[in-house]
Amino acid sequence: MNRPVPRLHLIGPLVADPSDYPRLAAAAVRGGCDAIHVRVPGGTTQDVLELARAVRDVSTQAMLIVNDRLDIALVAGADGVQLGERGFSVDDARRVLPPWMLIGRSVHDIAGARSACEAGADFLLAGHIFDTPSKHGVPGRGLDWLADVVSAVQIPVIALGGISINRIPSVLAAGTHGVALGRELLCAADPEQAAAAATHLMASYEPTSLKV
Amino acid sequence: MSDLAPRLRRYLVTDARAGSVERLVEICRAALDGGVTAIQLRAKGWTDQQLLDAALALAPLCRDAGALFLVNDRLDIALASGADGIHLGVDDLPVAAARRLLGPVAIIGYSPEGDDDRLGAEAAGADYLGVGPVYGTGTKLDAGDAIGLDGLRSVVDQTQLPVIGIGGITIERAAEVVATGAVGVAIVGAVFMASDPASAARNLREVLP
Repeated sequence: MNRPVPRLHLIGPLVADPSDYPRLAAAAVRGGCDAIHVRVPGGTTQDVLELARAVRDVSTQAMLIVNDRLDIALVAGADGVQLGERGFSVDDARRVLPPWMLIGRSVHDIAGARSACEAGADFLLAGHIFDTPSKHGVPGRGLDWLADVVSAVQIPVIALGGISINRIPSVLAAGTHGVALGRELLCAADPEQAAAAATHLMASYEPTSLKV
Repeated sequence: MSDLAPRLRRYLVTDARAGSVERLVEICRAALDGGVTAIQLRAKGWTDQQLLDAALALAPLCRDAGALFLVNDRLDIALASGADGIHLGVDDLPVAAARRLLGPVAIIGYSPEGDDDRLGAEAAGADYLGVGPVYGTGTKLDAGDAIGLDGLRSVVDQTQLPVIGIGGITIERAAEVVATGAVGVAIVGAVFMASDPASAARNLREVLP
């Protein structure tokens, strides 16, 4: 079941007020974002479900990807899940989810990337690439590392972490399929315009996953 | 319901204070030996991987012992482990959504916080109710004021579903809880924090054969 893997992912709500996230997500989608992640560490099931549904309602043009909670992804009608390293394995998730749902795996090292690829993940979220306030004190892994991840696997790699819009070309030059942005869109004066700028930069790069 | 009620009689709810997956599973194994009829996996604050590891270990243990295995809140953990069902509360997935995903055979328990809430869950296909806290509880700090035996009895009288009492129930108090018409008791600390969980479970079986 090959569904195209989205290239411009919004990760949130992060610093944004969760109740404001659907509006921000809708703006990002108008600007060309094709995947919206819902990631609420420690949120109650009800809260996360409500947020996922609200995002779903305003961003039907993009894929909805729910972090870690397969059950919420299923109930909210999400297109996929994003698995962290302390959650479901790709194998376990695949047994629970229908085959058409995308499974992304977050990876922080080459070995993790290889095993997620072997286990059948549809894409990897690799990071963090640059220093970011979300991971204060932990330096970014850099573009060379990112290129190593890309060459270690046969599935699309989405780069994450501290990627400002003007760094997108260098990230894509490392061979990545796409990028995931958080604060860069959520905190932008005009999230739609920021997403449109990112989309414009990405349009000039062919998705490298075509090597598959 | 006639089949379900006896399986809800001695219902163990796990506790994150076990500290590790291994210890939690070990306590459950002992409690099954001692005769608990159902186990609900609940471990607030644990990672998904810990919950899943615990669920994958408990599902076959319960099956072999003829006990029900239910997962609190996490439908995905229930699906991945082949649990018999799920136990939901007001902050969890809607009962109707859980029923759609789990199918007609799965057991769905619900902890209502009021009459409207309970009626909604019944209409959406809940199979049993967990009602409490019957007594003050040291386990669940957000559980609200104790409803007492009278509060429990009033729910039992109003619903067609089997009811288990939960919250602060000790082995000594189990008999008065089922005297309200509840089909069983949910026990947490009285077995989970016991120095000898197997004998605590056996004591419970003597009180509630």
